[in-house]
Amino acid sequence: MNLPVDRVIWSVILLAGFVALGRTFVGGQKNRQIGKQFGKLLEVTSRTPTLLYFWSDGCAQCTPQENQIQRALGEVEAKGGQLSLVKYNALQETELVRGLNILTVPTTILLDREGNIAAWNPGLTAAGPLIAQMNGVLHTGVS
Amino acid sequence: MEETRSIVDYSALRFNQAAIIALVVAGFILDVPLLPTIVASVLLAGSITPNLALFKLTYKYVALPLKLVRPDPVEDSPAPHAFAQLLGGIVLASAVIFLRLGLPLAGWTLAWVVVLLAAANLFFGFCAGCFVYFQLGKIGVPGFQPRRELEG
Repeated sequence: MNLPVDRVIWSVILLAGFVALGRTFVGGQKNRQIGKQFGKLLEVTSRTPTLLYFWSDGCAQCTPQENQIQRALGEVEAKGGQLSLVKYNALQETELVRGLNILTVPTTILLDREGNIAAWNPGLTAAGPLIAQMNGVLHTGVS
Repeated sequence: MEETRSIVDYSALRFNQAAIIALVVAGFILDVPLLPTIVASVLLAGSITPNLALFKLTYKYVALPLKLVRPDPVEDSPAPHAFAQLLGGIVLASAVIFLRLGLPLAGWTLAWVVVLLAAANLFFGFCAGCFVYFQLGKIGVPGFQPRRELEG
């Protein structure tokens, strides 16, 4: 069987290119220093890692996401970790939504102690990955 | 106060998306419209009744027993994912219609839209159908709002 080489090449380009673009976009959200840019809008406690949680009415996954967040925070805090949680209604906080490239709800954004974005999660994120992300920021930059 | 909690197996979702991507891309490479036709039929039939969700049945009765994958249960609402499957089935069925009408550019373009949206979910956890579901709920379309908790 002769494989049409042009179609194979197009398939590789489209799939690999899409994944690469997506990773670039998601990666571009990380390490952004947003504490200064959105300082007045964010209720962020300095030097404490903070989880920003964007929700809205009409979001079927937001209740499960809240449960996952509470579970993750409970496990991390039980081991001595300290994080702040700030919730935003995505329909009301339009400037934040635009500035932080919030594409959907629920979205969770984890800030490290310096106010840099350490993790940017569009869509529902389970407790396991949230815990790993939280542990990542809690165990770095500790003096 | 009552709360409705449901569990979604994310491993089954990823298996579903991988099957969609593999079969539609294979159909494109080999120029065989039958493959996206089968995928569209499976997605639409599975939206009507879970007993006809062939990919999920393959996951449950083949992949799991053979230990090719492990379950990944997550508390989530199944409604947006079911809607995403229906939306994918409708778009893919439209692609098949274009292919049957002798319009391969339109047909394969629509098929690739489904592939890339499945890839967005598989690689980045971004559910385009969930996004549309949320937007429809936001503007108040009946049937797209979550069940409210009963307050005591």
